[in-house]
Amino acid sequence: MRIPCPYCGSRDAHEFAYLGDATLTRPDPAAPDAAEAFHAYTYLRENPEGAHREYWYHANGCRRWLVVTRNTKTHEILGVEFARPSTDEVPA
Amino acid sequence: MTRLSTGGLIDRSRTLSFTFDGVAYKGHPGDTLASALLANGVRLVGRSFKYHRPRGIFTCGSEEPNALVELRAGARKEPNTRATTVELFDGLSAQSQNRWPSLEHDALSVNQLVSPFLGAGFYYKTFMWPASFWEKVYEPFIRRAAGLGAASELPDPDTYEKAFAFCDVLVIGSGAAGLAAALSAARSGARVILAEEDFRFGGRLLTEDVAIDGAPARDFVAHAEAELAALPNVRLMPRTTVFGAYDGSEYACVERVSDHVAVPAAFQPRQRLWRIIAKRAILATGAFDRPIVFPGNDRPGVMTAQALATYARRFGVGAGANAAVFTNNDAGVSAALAATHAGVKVEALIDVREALPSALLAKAKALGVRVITGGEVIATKGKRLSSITVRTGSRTETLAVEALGISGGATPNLNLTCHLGGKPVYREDIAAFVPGSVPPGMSCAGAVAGQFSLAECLKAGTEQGATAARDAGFAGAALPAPKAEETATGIRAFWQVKAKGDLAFVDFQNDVSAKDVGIAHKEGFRAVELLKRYTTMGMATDQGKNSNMAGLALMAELTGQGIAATGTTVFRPPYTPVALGVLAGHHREKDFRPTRPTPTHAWAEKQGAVFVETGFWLRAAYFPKPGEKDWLESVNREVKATRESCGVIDVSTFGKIDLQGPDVGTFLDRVYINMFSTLQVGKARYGVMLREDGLVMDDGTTARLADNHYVMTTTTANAGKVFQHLEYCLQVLWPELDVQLSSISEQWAQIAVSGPRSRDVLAKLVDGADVSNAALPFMGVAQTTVLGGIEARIFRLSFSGELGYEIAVPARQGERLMEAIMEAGKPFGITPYGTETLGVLRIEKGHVSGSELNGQTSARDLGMGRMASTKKDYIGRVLSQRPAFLDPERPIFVGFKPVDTAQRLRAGAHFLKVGVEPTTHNDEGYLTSVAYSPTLGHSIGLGFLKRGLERIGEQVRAYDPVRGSDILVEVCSPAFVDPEGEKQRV
Amino acid sequence: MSDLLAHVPHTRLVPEGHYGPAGTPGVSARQVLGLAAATLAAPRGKTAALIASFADAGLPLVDAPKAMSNGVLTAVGTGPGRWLITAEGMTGAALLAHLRAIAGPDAALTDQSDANIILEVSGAAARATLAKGIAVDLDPLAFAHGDAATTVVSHIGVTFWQSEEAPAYRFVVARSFAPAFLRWLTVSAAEFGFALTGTGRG
Repeated sequence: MRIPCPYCGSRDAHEFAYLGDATLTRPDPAAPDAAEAFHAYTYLRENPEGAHREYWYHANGCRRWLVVTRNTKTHEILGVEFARPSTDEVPA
Repeated sequence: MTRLSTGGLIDRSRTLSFTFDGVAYKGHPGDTLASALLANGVRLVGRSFKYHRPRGIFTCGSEEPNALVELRAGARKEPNTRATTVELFDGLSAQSQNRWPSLEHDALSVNQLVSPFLGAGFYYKTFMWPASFWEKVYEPFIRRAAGLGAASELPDPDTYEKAFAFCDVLVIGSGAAGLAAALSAARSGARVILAEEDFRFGGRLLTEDVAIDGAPARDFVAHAEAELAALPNVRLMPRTTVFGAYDGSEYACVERVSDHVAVPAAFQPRQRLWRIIAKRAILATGAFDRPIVFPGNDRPGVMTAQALATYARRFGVGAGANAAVFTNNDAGVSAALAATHAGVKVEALIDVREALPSALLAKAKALGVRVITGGEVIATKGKRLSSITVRTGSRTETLAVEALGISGGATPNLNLTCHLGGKPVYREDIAAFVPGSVPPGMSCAGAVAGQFSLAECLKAGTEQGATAARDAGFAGAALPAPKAEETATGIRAFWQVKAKGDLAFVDFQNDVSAKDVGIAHKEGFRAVELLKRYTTMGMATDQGKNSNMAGLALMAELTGQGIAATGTTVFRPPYTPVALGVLAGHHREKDFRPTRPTPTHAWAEKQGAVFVETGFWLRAAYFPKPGEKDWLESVNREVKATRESCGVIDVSTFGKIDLQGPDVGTFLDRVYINMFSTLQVGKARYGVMLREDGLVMDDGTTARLADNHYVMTTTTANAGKVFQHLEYCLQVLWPELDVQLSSISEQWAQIAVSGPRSRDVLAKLVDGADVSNAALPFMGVAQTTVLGGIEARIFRLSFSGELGYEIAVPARQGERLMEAIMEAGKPFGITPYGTETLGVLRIEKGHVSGSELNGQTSARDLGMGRMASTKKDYIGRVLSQRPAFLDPERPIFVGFKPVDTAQRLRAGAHFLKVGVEPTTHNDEGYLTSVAYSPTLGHSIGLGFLKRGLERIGEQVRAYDPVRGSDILVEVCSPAFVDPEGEKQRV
Repeated sequence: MSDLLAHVPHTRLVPEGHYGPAGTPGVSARQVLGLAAATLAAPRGKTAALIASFADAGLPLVDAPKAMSNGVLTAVGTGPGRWLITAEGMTGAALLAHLRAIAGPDAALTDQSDANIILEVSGAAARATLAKGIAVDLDPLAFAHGDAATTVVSHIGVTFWQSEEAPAYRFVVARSFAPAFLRWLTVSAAEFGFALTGTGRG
């Protein structure tokens, strides 16, 4: 399997480490329901059939965390972007 | 001898010698082992798997079910090699397998007398009761009776390697469609790889008696090959089997670099594993000629009509002194005619059909071949085929023939289309399954797609080659396809001759007969996947290439639901068996994974160190001295020397991460449980980081070198994991933080000097820096130079509990620093130590390590709950407050010593209250680390015990049923040495 | 592994010498000594400014996996806003000071002069050799002079770039992985004839 890294180009999937669901956001630790929210954030995962946004880390490449949109049924890669766009685009 | 007087793509001017079962034979370059055996009149080549029936050569390709042999001998012996794919070489030796005492007289052939008891599901029905028979009776019986060749138990003396290739268009198979596809793609400028499993390009064109562009097909093959070979954008890969299609247009292949020679040439591998990344792939793998099911269809001498014709035309071999052909289709008829044309004496062409195309009949007449229409072969005779019985209506007739070519129709070789889940689709009109959905980027051309006529193959190949190249970005002009006559492709679906008599085989390799399919039907195993597993049909090394079609057709007939509704099982990689050696490549033995030496490895070797693998690293475990009787004696000496004077160890393997930027302090506060933004410049602090689930991820010290510059250490094992985690936090969780990370693990050699005299040693190394307790206190950091100008970072840290320093210098200076430390420490008897002593020192001091940071423990469990800051959030904080983590009953980190100090603790033992049953319910915790403490003179341990801190002084059992140990231990503080921590602060 | 390296300890660099069939080597590799190296990372949001500073100083950085050289310094893109910079005839400290002067106080600079070994691999069979471990397309159409990649070879992380048209490639390999990398390179290149220099006598 190959993943088109936005910095490095087409690379073997073995160069990447998989983390999973990229649709989650770390909850507010100060919120009154933080315990429940963190439980869901840490343990609960959807297992969608079809397009899924996932975090992959280009461990043996540019060391960027990527959001890979992958079809879980066909393994087709539908899109890849940096998890953090570019340092220049992040508002201060 | 059945070598025909002329013809064949063999070099008759040269002779190759080989042996089979110890008998010497001769063949020619261009032969396969199978063709050479047939040329020498050897027709019996093996015994079948279950019934040990005599078997001969059935096919001329990699789908061969019968002619499996042990090739070569000794360390290079290779069992289950298909004689039909082995390229003959001088000196080749092969042995038949699955026979005893000999191929001719096989003792287990009595199995066929009891075949009624060995039918479908017999494993499940027979080897059931009593259970005690399993080990002593059934298993030895199955092992002796079944199985094929025996593997060599010697190390493989040959090498294997891996390689990657990239192309625009991968063409798999080099018959008419494949060659046409490769030509049209290559002419457009695309990078083309043409992979062919045979040693010769051309596929069926080497067999068929046809013309292309007005010239013999073989001339077309030669011209195409020459043109492709001359193009710089084409890589021709003969002897290369594409065995798997994978995600992302990736194809796995084995190139048999040296299988066709006795011993690989110097510096050449035996085989090479290719991973080809192809923008487009064209599958042009043709079709198999499939058998017809009739009694005695497995007798040596019976083979596919395609094989009969191929041995005659390509190899100049008659499969017997004379032959007959039994078919239901035009290709079978053409094969009979091609064989006749090549010189085989074909006594009769038996076709189940009443009428044949007139052109074929005319050809048969011209060649003088007797045609029996509406006929069926109902029986065969001979250990080696001697006669067949033909039934025409109510009349039967016996023909004396040594070979019988059978053709039940073409089965497209669509194996690779299934690897990503594609399901083949049945086409009534051609009585064959054709590819359904195919892997992305793949297209199918020629017979594999059900395009059986030569003209169709050439047209499809040419068009798809151009299309694939265009899809890959190469717009070539459309070229006309090579011209050929339309070959006849008619067929009448016909699977089984209904006749009583001998077993009628569906799967030759696994001895599955028509009767077995009937049993499976009767017993309800009707779905194809169940049929397959119950009868083992299609589960042999040929993966059902020969058998699946007839088997499922028979089932379809029994159920009456038709073939399309019955469906077929799918194929999985590998297409043909792959040797494990080629998957390993050069990663064997010590090269299985990289070995990382530390900066002082060569020095440690000179000191006689014994090394231990920790991950990829090779670290000194201990440094034995002459006269020491075992490792423990060495370690005791090293511990004692360190506690009493000073010791030294290379700790370069710790992960070292450089953090720069204005937000590093904030960042560290969020990843560690304790505060780092408040750390003073020139100071280090021990930190613990959690996973988001509240369990400890790693620990280590982090030092502040400047306002915006910190350096973190991680454990050796977690260096990569922590780096990845920190990048995740920065890039995903808090992209607003301005922090840059760099690994400096390889840049710095780091050496720890510990013990009461370590300051005296350090003082001799520094270039005048003040290393007094006042100037460089405990947890202080100095950036200075040592040994006359070498840049150094000195961290006053202690893992041992003694006064200690870790000195970091650029990696290339590591060995020099070590030598200087040893020289400076000589007056104090400085002692080098390894990971064993490191472990003893930290256990004596009660410091946690990998055994305690085991992915199941929280900071509170480790006694570090109070380190956690309450003034901030950090990764893992919220979930570490869950009730179970705060449960007072939760096992807590404490120390243990045996009540009888002569006894030895064992890590892994579980704790029980004295006097209770050893049950899971009564389990109170476990021992994680143990050591013999030379300082205390007895065994000590660290572990986790329920309410441990409240139970100091109590006695519990350390129960270890695995190793049969059950001893009384006393709960104590984990700090066995210097619990107040005074020694490290002096 | 073949007998080729049976006598070479796994902890040492493969010694210099000729491996494989006698004759003109198809592949050569030499350890390039005396180079200083450093990583340069742009502060958050300031990649463009950093590139501009270096352009003014005569080193045109590109935020991509490319190698750029101004004769003294070679900068290789290893990730967004990150470069590995090598310099000849300079100490690590001098390189850091030089880069600091251009980059300003906020850029992250880390001396890596001791972290790696640098190997130059060249020869007619260089591509065929590298294909035995590198899953990156090195065909001239896909990877040309000046192109760079950070990837993994035989479980070993490497950064490399094509340093000459001929072709020649420069490989940056972590010091502790260098023995394993050279073992892979040597067995892979041996069939073409392999000349290794600069690694000492073993």
